[in-house]
Amino acid sequence: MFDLESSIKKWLKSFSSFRAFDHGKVREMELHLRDHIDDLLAEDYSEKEAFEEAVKEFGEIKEVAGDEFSVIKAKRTVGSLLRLTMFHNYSKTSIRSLMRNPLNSFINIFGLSMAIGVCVLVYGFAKWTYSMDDFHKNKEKVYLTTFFADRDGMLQQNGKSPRPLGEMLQEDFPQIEKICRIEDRNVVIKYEEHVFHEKIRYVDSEFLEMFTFPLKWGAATSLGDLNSIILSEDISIKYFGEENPVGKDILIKYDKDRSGLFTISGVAKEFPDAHSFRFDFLINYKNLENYDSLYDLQDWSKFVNATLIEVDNPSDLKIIEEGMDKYRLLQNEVQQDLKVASFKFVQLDVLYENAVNIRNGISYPGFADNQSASIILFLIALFY
Amino acid sequence: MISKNLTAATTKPIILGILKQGKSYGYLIIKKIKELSNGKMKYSDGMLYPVLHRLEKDGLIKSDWSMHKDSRPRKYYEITEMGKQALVVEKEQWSQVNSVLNQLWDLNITS
Repeated sequence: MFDLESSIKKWLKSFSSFRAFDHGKVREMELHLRDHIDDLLAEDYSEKEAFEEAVKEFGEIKEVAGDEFSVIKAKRTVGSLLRLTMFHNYSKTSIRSLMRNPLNSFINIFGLSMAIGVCVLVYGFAKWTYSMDDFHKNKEKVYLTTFFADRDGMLQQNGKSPRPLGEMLQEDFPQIEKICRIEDRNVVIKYEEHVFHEKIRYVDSEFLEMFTFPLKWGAATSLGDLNSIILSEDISIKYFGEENPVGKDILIKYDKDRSGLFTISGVAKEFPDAHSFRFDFLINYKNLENYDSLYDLQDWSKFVNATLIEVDNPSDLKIIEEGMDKYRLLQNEVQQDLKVASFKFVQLDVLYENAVNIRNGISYPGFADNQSASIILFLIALFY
Repeated sequence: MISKNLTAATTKPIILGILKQGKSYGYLIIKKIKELSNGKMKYSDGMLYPVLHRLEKDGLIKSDWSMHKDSRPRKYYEITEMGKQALVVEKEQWSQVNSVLNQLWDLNITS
């Protein structure tokens, strides 16, 4: 059975193999064919006959395409001819001189290609390194508390801080807007048949206000709730695929005897590529005490992974630094092995630059090395 | 039947002549040519479009899509001022050719 529409479509498809026809031109030809078929149908042709006659009278598409192409082709001006001739001559001369010394030519071309490649690589690498943690809106107001302690005769900067320090800083200094303590623990997470060893991050509820990790699902304020847990996007996909897991319960096993049920209250959006620290699971810091009866928040002999402060006015930091000596004395009274020489606050904006010098810091310490790598790669490119 | 080469040579003045009478679209133009020549100027319909597009590119005609709810869209072609001037030149040239041929054939008849 002859189908007029599909025959017309098939005919129109033949135009697509020629560059000369754009959409408007093909549409114009289609309307021509349809008008012609209508006229032939009015003369009592069958649909098949009308189509065949109209196509026959239209002629060979290849010939039409040839004529059409000569219309769209740019006219050759004296200038374009001159440029073409020059290019032709230059190419000829270059190829001849390259072929005269093939080995030298290969070394030159290969060397130049390598240099360009390395330059592009260095540019990408440097851009990535120097934009590290740039996405945090409060990066100029947030500081990591570090201390210097004597290690084998040398002062070593350490990213940990005494456990009670955070709370005391907030009580003693009105200049501090927010504080956030961070503690990492290895646990076992169980959801239905999925059981994984994971690292969870205990943080104060201000964590998501101080750091810019926007949520894909859920509410950041839920971090204040002791039974809530916030996941990274990677973890959410690992356990739940593309499904929104907010409202689901997962079990955290701290050890073989103790465990707790947490409700998923948020999922973070995918972290930007240039981040020096991240998280998989976030739960409220106070859970440390709830699930570990031996965990004492007031114990000066113990450390917390990180204490971060946020100040509205960075010039206030000097006042805070000047008042840190009393904590040094408190700490040194109980901690004989690791005597604190001084405290120092490191701005989040430059944390990755200093990460290599900070022992036990939360920022991934490979980034200072990355800067060295950028310089080495740049020198390689220059050498080439 | 008029030869393909002669038909091709006359396409430009014929199209400009038809469009001088009023704007028209591809299918109507080719129908008009067939009608005027009693089907003696016969060439494939598709070959008209590259000529129309070349004339448009040269600025002798201009086109505009016309869209109506009740009928098919049409791409109407219209002669421009430059096209009208080109038609005058074409007319003169074809008149000269015609006069030369007439003179020759008159001579032939009288001889």
